[in-house]
Amino acid sequence: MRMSAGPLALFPRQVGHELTKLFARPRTHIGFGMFLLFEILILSLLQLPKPKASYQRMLEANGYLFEHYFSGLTLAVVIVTSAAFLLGALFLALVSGDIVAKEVEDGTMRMILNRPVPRAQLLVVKWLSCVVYTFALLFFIGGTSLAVGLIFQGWGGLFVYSPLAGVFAIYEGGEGLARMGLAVFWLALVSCVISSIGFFFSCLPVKPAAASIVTLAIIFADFVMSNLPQFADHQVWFLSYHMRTWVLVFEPLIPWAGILESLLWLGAVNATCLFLGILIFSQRDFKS
Amino acid sequence: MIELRDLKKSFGGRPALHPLNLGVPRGEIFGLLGHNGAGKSTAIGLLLGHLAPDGGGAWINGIHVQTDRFAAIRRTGAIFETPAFYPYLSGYRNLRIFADYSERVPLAKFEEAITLVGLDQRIGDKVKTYSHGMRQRLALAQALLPEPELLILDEPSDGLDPEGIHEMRVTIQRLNREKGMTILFASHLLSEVEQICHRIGILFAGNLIFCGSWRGDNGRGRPHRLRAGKPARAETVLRGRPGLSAEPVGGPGEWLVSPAPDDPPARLLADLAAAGAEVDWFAPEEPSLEAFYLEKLRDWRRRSP
Repeated sequence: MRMSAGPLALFPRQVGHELTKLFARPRTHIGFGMFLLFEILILSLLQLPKPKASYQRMLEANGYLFEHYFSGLTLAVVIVTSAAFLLGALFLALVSGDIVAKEVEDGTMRMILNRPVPRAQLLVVKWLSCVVYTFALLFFIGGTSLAVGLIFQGWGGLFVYSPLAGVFAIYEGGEGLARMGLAVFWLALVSCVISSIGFFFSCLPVKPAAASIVTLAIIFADFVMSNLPQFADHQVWFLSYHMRTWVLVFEPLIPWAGILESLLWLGAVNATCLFLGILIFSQRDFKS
Repeated sequence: MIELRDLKKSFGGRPALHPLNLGVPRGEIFGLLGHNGAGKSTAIGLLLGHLAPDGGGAWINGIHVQTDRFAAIRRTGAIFETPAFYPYLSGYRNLRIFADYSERVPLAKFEEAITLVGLDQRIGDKVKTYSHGMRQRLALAQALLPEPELLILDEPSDGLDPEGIHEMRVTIQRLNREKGMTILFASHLLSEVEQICHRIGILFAGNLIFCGSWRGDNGRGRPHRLRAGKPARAETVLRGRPGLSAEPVGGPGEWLVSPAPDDPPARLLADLAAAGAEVDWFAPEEPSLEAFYLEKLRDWRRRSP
């Protein structure tokens, strides 16, 4: 009567259930709605005379036509950068900080552990769902930013300027769109480190809010310190330095070696967070 | 089915469970009693592998929980502490999520469990729309999905209305009778334990202070309830009997009598009849579990410093 499927055979279904839990929550929808509002807000601010004039000066000083390059694509990249930095980190920290700790707090983790579930497998499922969520969120930001940008400003060339990463690039529409797609994918990839850190703290015996706050504190402290001149020679030790590499895909000649090196660095942080999270969670006692 | 050997656990250096030895044979409904903090949840947590013991071990069906948890609790269903669900998902989706973490359960099994707990009309609704009783029933359905040989029920009737309590009791007894399930039943509702359980264990401050049948334990020297049609004549017999204690209970002509150990109740009854007391009730008093439980706690407190 009973089908002999071990817990490993049910792995894809378990990931599916985790994603259902994440995406069926009302606050997920509220959060996505907030992103959309935030994107429209940024876009509206960019339509004000001062920011517009600043773009015009920059483009025309370099001999480019403002009307062509101040386009939906250009604005979409600006929106993605702002939304991902200001709200994306916050949202990823909140979701990943909740992923284990909230279930422990609510008691659903106890219900799950009433069954013979290997704790390590359970955590891998949860971490993977965090990764999928990170990609889904960043693709949502990318897609809606582009849509909002095109509606407001229309089609045209792409202009990217990032003094922090030292990027100044100009592309025609088609290639600009391809570069933007690649950039959003890379941004999602590097943002997984925020989710991994949140996941790690969520595995500790702490409240979900504490896990999210500590994660955010680490990310922002890292960002601030990496921008201090005193640490200019030690950039390689900061997460922000490696996370910034997503902007480098806008360079005419993409520096793949440097980008992959950063990716390996961030991958090591992800793996460490996952491993330590599993190690600590496996040793924990569960008692209300 | 269940064996706990020298199982002990402390939290922050404070002992929650002193070395506990307990055995529950297959097919038994065993009641675990104790006040809040007595160690019931700790014992169940250790049995389910939620907690790691400081010493000793727990076995289910001969399999050591601490070394092979997966095999040990494979055929164990549990309602442990307050059941929690994902309120924004349907009852069915909740069951599916909890089941799929361990094994693939056929659809027919879901339907059987849902029907058994009487949730078939509401299983597609979101759990946030369920009453407390419906959540308890959903928790029972969840516990039944692994086709358990052992069912661990921690306060399953908590918060249920009288009809719900009755239904839960009938279901538990049916599962035990028809499917032969061994049931570990932890509850504060002594009347439920009294009606359901074959044997009980009483935990107090992490110590097992009693294990066995409360009915058998009080068999010898049990007080008898006496009701006589001629109270004055009966009283004369009772007063003239050395070593007998008679406590008036109920209406006039009704006593709870405890004859002296060397005075068989049958002889007392014969003397009452001979005196023309018109005895219309004389039977050993069934001890209530509540009285038994409180007596055991008093005994333990008296003996412990």
